Amino acid sequence: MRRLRILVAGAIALLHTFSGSAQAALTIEITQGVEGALPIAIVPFAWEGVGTLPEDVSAIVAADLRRSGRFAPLPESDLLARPHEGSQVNFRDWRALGVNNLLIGRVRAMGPNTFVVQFQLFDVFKGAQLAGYSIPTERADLRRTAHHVSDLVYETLTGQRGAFNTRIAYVVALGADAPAGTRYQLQVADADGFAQQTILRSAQPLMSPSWSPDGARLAYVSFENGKPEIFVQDVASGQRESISAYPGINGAPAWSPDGRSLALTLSIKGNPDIYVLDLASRKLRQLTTSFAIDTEPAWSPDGRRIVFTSDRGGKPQIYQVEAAGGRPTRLTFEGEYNARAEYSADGKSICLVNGQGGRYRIGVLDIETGLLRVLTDGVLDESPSFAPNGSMLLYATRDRGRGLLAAVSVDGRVHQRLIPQAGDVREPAWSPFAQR
Amino acid sequence: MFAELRKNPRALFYAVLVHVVIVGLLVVSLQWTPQVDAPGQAEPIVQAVAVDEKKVADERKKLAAAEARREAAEERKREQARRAAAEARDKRLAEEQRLKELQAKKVTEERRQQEAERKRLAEQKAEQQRLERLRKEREAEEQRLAALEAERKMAEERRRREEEARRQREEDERALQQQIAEEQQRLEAERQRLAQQTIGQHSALIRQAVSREWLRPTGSPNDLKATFRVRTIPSGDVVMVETVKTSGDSVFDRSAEAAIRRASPLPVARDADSYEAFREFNFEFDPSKG
Repeated sequence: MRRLRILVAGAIALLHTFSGSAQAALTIEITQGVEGALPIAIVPFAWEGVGTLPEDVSAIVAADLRRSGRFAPLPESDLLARPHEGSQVNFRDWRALGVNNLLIGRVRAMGPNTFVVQFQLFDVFKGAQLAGYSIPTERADLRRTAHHVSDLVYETLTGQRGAFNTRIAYVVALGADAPAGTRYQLQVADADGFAQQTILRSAQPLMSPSWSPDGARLAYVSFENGKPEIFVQDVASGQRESISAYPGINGAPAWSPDGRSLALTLSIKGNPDIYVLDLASRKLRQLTTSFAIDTEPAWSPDGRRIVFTSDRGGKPQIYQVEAAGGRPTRLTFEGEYNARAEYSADGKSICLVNGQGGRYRIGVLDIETGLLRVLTDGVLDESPSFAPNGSMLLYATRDRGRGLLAAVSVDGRVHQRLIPQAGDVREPAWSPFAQR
Repeated sequence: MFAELRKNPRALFYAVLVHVVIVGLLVVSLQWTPQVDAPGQAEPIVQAVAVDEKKVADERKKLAAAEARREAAEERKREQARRAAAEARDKRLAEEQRLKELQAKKVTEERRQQEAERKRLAEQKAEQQRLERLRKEREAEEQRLAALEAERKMAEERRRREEEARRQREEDERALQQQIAEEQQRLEAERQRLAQQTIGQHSALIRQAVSREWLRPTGSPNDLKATFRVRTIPSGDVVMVETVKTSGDSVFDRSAEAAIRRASPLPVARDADSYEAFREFNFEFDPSKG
């Protein structure tokens, strides 16, 4: 009897064992997540110096990360503690706040104009440091250093290179109602719109700034000589030269990824077509031939394809052509107007201006699927430009008759207007990555 | 008859014994009959016969002579008779003495026999009594033995019954235990089924909870896949997350791990049986199946 009982008990135990092992094999599959911003706590960096901190580094970082749409920095008022060193961090508190990551740091003055920015990035749930840097900098570069910190945090947490420490170029029209008439400026600023500087002033219109792949030069169209002419200017030194002054239209320059050529719009033969200009030899190669207007070329990241706007179908639409030449194919079919295309960093999609029902908005088109996602909600949004990491788009929008710079995350969730610049801002262009 | 005898040899024995006794007794009684000779009856009886004169004279002479001889013979005879009578008297006396003695002896013998008989009877009676006693004793013994036997049988019977009852009890017990075991197995199976059901439900809840917390990295390839082992405590709190199989993309892995930790405490099953499945289990993050 006892033996039977033991046997039964044994059998049950065995069952348990089996089911136990079966249970141990329990696997829950997670196939779907949510699109959302990563919650991060950014503790204001400690200032270890005399007087006030010249730039609020951690605030710049928080703004950068928020603008990217990938992060949701915790409001400063919600911070429970303000540690500046890893030893002061109590991960439990931060977990309770539901943030995934924590950024702490300090700015230490080493001399009157020299500083060291130190920071540590933690995975709150793991309780582990993900990154820690100590970056020496100077007063004039503090903002840039802050953007650099943003880049490091961004890259650590998203796996993609940050594009905060980049620059934007745009055209500002000033004094439209002034007696002297409208004046034009070509400006360059940090990617967040701060630290703008004017690199060219003109009484005549300036158009279509385009960054060289090394981010050192800008090509643009200037009417300073009474007709459209393409110049290339070194941003740092201000040195410039005219590289295209053919009869008729000289417009919409676009650098090839290798920096050796410019695609541009010329109307040498009377009708605007896309040409490729070899910068070294100044030789021209006609890429498109049509009786319609072909303009606004842009290179794919691998340099093998070019998209452009053409009204050969009756209305402006986007076409793609082999950079070596060939028969263009139409990419856009949605809306009566698609223009101003630019490839994303991976070359799989293009941003563009999509016009439907009299409204012009910024969209992203998946080249392979043809799926168009409209990201903005303006009336006359124009000149979209991808951040070099493809995470965001910069564009110009209009508010009360005035052009403003705005940014939208590539998933369309985060919209932000950059700090208002004086004047009517147009045609922003996002620079490539800074040379590392 | 033989069969009878064979069946009952004692009867034969008794029969023989009786005959022997009778014959014995006869012999003894014959020996006991006194051997007496009747006195005076020894003379032969003279026969009277008729004869002639001369012959009678001759015969008388002869008779005289014969008479004389006969007288003489008679005399002798008388003498002889006297002697014989004396002898006979002596003899008789002796005989009488002997008879007396015999009588006395006989009386003695009779007495002795009587005594013996009495004694024998007494002995017989005693024997009978003894036998009777023995018989009674035997009977008593037999009764006692019978009683003992009965008792033994009763004890035996009782033991048998007890044994039977015990066996029955054991049988019942075994059957009961088997029933219990079967019931337990059934319950166990049912419990497991319910546990599986509960595990399924809670797996779904956990899947939802973690999916809600999973901030998928924007722009990461869709074919990334990572597996994690988690350990929980019964409250559902995740106490350990371990990468079993990395996606090769640290950001993806971290987003998944963060999702698990953000979802903590996980909605694990509360009952002990089902909870076991959630003590340690795996998460597989595979957006390609989404």
